[in-house]
Amino acid sequence: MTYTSFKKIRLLIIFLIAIIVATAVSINNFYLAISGIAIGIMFNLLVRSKLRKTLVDERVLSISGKAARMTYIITTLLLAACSLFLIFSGRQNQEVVIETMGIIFSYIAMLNIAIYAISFRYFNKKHGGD
Amino acid sequence: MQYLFAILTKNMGVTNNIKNYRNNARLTQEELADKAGVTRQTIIAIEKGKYIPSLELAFKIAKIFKVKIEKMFDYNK
Repeated sequence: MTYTSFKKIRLLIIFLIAIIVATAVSINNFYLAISGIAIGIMFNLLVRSKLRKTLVDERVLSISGKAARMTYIITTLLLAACSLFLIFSGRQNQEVVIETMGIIFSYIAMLNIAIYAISFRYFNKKHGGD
Repeated sequence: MQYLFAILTKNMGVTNNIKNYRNNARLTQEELADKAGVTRQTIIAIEKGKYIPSLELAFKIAKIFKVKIEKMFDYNK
């Protein structure tokens, strides 16, 4: 299978999943939506296995690692800044909902940091660190 | 030539002459990528000096052309 035909088949699978999910939402059928997505993922993996070509190599992994790190820094900083703004704004205006949203954002930022710390520790150990 | 290449690639440090070996072996970038188990974009990036391959990949590429790694890659700093 060539890469061009693989891209066309993948696009077709995405299109079909979209139709099934849209139909499922319109008739209020949760199981149809889940089945459609699951079948789509299976077909995608099947088609991917037929392609005898490397799609992800060390360069792609390196780039995605750098992009992930940048995303982590930006989202954590944004979440922290937004949470501070919402908390102080909520307290000033006596808006409990806004203050609560700010607290939730701060917990999400801390969860982000915790997941990063745990995964860093794991990979550090894996690659010879202590 | 390698020194000039290093300047052009903003002192990347590691230079290579993969393109010469590839042309002599009459291989396309796609064919070399398939042999090395990487994407064509990676071979392009390595030849342009925009990406420094890992040691493993460098050895793989040198092995494809049956040359020592020191003949294919050089370190200039």
